[in-house]
Parts: sequence; C-alpha cells; structure tokens
Amino acid sequence: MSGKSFLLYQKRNSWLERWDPRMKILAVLLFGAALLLTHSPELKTAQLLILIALWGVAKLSWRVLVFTLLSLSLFFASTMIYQALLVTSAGDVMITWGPLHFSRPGAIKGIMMCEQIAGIVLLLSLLVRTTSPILLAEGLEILLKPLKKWRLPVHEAVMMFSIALRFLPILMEEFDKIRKAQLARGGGFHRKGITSRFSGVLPMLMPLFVMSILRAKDLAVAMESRCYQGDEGRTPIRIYRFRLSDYAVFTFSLANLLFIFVW
Amino acid sequence: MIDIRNATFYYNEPDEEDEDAGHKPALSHVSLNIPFGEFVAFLGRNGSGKSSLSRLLNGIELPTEGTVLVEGHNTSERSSLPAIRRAVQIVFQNPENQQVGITVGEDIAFGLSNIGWPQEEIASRIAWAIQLVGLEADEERPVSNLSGGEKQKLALASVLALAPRCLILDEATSMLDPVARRQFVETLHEVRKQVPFTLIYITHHLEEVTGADRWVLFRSGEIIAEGTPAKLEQDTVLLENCGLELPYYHRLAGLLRQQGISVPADMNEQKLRDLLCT
Repeated sequence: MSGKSFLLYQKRNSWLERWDPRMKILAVLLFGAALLLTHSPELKTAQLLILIALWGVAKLSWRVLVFTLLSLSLFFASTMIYQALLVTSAGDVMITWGPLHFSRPGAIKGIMMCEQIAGIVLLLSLLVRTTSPILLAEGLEILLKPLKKWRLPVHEAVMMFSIALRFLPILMEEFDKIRKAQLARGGGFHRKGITSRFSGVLPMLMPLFVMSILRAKDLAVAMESRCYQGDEGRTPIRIYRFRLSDYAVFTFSLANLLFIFVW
Repeated sequence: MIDIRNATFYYNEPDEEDEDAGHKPALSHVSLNIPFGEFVAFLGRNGSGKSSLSRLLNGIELPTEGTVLVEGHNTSERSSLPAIRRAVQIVFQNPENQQVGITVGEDIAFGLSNIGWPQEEIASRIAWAIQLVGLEADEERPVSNLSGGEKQKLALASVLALAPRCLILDEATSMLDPVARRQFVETLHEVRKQVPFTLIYITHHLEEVTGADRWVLFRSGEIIAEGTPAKLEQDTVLLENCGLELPYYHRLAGLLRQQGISVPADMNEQKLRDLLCT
C-alpha cells in the first residue's frame, strides 16, 4: 500500500466531504466524548459500527480500514492482556496460567478499551480523509478564533498542522525511496532478527530527518515568496455557511452524547 | 524596475576576527539594472550566484552590502517587503516543494488569500490563472494527480494569479522531461504575449533563452559578461568557462563554417534546417 493512498486526503465526492469542516470537527469532538464516556459494551460496539458505516458512506477504501485496524493490533493485544490481568474477579476466571488469572469482566473491559481505541482512530481518520487539509485548517482556525484574544498563535499552529498533514505522504514516499536505496546497497533491515532489523532502520532516519528539514526550508521560502506573513491581512479562501445537513450532523452527535448520559 | 547596486551577499557572514576562514561571498559587488518588460537570462555554473541574486530580488535574502531596489522599494526595509514580494514572484526548481494546497484551486488561492484578494473574486481569478497557463485540470483536481509538467504549470499559474510585475524562473524546467520542458517554455511565451511582465530566466539550457533580450553570465558570484544572445553566443570560450553549451544547431553551424560552408551568424533551428534542405 503506497503512502499516498494510506494517508492522503483524496477527493471522492462523498456526502461526508460536503459537510462543513467546522461542523465535522465539532461532531468528531462530540462523538469522541460519547465514545470515551460510555461504559456499556453494547453502546461502544454500536458506535464503532456507526463509524464503520460512515467509512462506507465516505466511499473510503475498505482495504485501508483493515490496514488501519491491523496496524493497531499491538495496542489491542497489550490492552487485552493488561485489562485481563488488572480486572480480576474470583468467580469469573476463564483461564488460569500459573499465577495469572484471566477473568470474564477483564476480557469485556479489554474489548471495550480496544473498541474505544479503534473508534477514536477511525473517527480521526474519517475527519482527515474526508476533509482537505486547507479546509480543516480553516475550520479549526475559525473554531479557535476566540483564543486569539489571548494572543495565542492559533493561525500559525493550524497552518503547521495542515502542512504536516500535506507532507506526511511525501515523507512516507521519501522514506520508501531511502529504504530501497539502502537495500540496494545491502541495508540490514531485511535480515532476520529484531536487532539487525532495528540497526538497519537507524541509518535511514538521519537522511529522512535531513531531507525533511530541507523540504520544510524550501516550502517556507516558497510560502514567504508568495506573500505569506501569517494571518495578517489574509482573506479566507471560502465563505462558510451551515446547511441543513450540517445542523443534522451536529444534532445527531449531540443527541448521541446525551443518550450516553441517559442510558 | 530592478536596480541592484554593488550588492554583496554571504550566506554565512564572515567572522571579522577570522578573516582567513575561507568564507566566499555568494555574490560579490554585483550591479545590474533591469527595466520593466525585459526578458533577461541569468546563466552560469551551479553555485555561480544566479539563484542567490534571484533571492535578493524577492527579499527572501538581504544583501550583506549594497542595495537592491525593486520599483523604488529597498529590500532591506522590512516595511517594503509585502510590496516587493507582490511585485516579484519566483517559480522554483522542485514543484513539490512549493505547493501548499491539496487541490489545484487551493494552491492558487493560497497566494491570493495572502495578499488579501477580495474573497468574491478569488474563484474567478483561479479560473483565469488555470486558463492562462493552459492547465488541463479543474480547480478541484488533486495536486498529487498532476504530472511533473502540470505541477510546474500550476506553480506558474499560482504566481501569475498574483499579477507580478517581475517573474523569476529559478531552473524551473530542470526537473521536467524534454517534452514537458518545451511545453512549459511555449506556455510561458504565450502567457507573456497576454500579460506583460519582466522575465528573469535562470537556466543551464541556452536553447530556452535564445529569444531573451539579454544574457547575464555569472561566475564565482560575479557578473562576468552581459549582452544580447547574438553577441555572447559568438564567444564560445566565454560560454564554456561559464559551464554552458550552445544549442546543437549553433554547434553544427560552427562545424559547417569550419568546412568552409557559408552559414549566417543569426542562426536558429529553422534557418539551419532551411539552409541544409536547400
């Protein structure tokens, strides 16, 4: 899977893409809060299923979804083990392995934690994949505008965030190029054994780091030469207006959060 | 339009206490005047000072000594920088490193937004710039889907949208294949017919600048010669000293002359073909 398809926002003309970026950010916050606050396994599962359904509505690749979840498998495994060991209940021990007891409540708690991690990752992934970085940055900037009163560098922070998103796939491609170049010269990361693989990765980090700095420098010069001087005197690229669908998204996200409290 | 007076520039300023440290200026006592509308080619080896001078013109770098005036504004005065940057735009070598937007429209809009272009006119200006450079892409097309040549055309559209008085192309064709390079140069000349601006073209490929009004030759941070292409292309030794090679039809014309065949001095590809065919 190329870095481009894995990380980059790609236009698919889906319904989710047309949502107002401000509303999308608010919906992500509300949905994320609901996901974290619910203690019911059924509700957590239901919310995860909604997110998976939204993935389909957004016309995103199912392969990318599987890849995203598989890349979290280490987190899932460690969370399950940790929860199973931490939450012990004398009457509900399912497996006993030496001094370790794996209980049913622990396993349920572990599954809930895994669902929570997967949910948050999918939620953020949906936001980033269905919103162009520029729109995301503008949406964030509008929402964080009140913080400018305290002279917080909101615009600069948001611009850095959007550029980081824009450059992630490029950096992944560069990483792949460096890896292949070093493989061609006998780089050690394809050899057997974790130690030799790890020591093979280290020589790739320095060129990648240097390359990132140089690219960042070039981009900064290009931005500056195109009259960029922070948010001073800038006109927003688009006029944002909430539509009925945006209000519906917000209402659904808020209702979802309130439902968690009532449940 | 541009007046460079005795400009010297160091990337790292030399330490006064350690004068023998071997610091060499990127530019040394350069003076140059470029009127509005002129097509000037900066030529020379890598590291000869061409790109450094272009950066001084846009105020990205400031001269260590001397002055650089752009339409009467001194680049060393911070308050003049917005006007200078609006007047002088640069297209760089690598299109990937100068694109901020994800889509064609967003990238063109970036500069317009920076200069406070009226919001209701941004969309029409984007469409105008896309059409001007003949980019076969709508504004919603992702930048990542463009070819190298198209990306460089987008970079051109992005800077032309700002209506610059002077455009600098800093080896803008060096990462393009020969066909894309030719198309880019053709597009540029078509654009110049519609929108007048001063053009400063930095390149190693002389065939791209045979139509220039003036060539400026750089060596070791100094301007060693300037003049019309017709005058300078006669001095092959000078060009070779600057790491430059005449286009093949000039070299072929020279070889024909050595064989005693009469070949006119103002030779170009078409004329040489006509001569050989008749």
